[in-house]
Amino acid sequence: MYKRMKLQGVVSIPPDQLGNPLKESVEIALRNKYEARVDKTLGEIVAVLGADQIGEGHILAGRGEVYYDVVFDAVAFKPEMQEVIEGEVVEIVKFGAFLSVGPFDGLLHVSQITNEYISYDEKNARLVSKDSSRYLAEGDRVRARIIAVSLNEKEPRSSKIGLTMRQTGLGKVEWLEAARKAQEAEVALVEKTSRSAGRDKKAQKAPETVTDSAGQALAEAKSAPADPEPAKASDSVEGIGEAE
Amino acid sequence: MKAEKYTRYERARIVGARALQIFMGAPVYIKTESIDPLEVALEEMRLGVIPITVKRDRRTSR
Repeated sequence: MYKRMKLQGVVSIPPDQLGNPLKESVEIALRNKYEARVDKTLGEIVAVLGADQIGEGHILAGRGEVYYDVVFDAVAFKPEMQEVIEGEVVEIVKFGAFLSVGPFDGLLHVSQITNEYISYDEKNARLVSKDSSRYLAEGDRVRARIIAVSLNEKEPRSSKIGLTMRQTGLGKVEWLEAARKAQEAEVALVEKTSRSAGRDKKAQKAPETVTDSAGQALAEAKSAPADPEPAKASDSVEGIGEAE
Repeated sequence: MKAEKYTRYERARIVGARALQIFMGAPVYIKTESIDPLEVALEEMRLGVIPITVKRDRRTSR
């Protein structure tokens, strides 16, 4: 999550900049010192917006610089555990995919992409699932959850973020869209069939075109034609069973 | 009592700090031919144009 925050810090202004306006040189010094710095509690400081309060300058013995206590505004990104993020696949490797997570890259391991077996397609730089030929390639938009965070303050580049997509509502944006459409279609079908079953009590045969689950719903609706609600309920239970 | 603004130690510290600043490229506040930072700092001190003050500990200040 990106956060805007007020921070306190100390910057040193070298003597050759003492002729310039103080606010300007303090802000330059703040940017040089704090931008791209990684802190365990703050996350990575992405940008320094500007100095808010500049205190008295201090001159230390034997040093030519002037030190200022400054309160400043900054924007920081902190990857939080359990946070759901939407990002782009920046690289596909043998063992998974790297996603851009704010200023960091997070690893989505092959075992965390889908419930299916995933194989690595080296020629096309893709990760392909075994049964339902879904694939993940560079540039895909995905939604994932952060399940591991290890920030390294000294070496920001070696900070690690672990991700997963093996939960409902997570995955490639296209998969989510397809799942949503399928669900909407199913709901619409169930509503239609239960309504027609309630209205047409004398119907003897179920229409042949409906799917298995809808057909069953229809049969059950017919067995209790006065009340269509139980039919809907039983169908939704079966729908969950199928998804698993 | 009020004749001197700073003690000789404070003056030494201020001139020293200022000379170091000038040596490291800080802009000079006076017109002078001298190229020795210490001489420039001393001249600035004499004219009272150095933007440095002393923060005294209340207990020890006179």
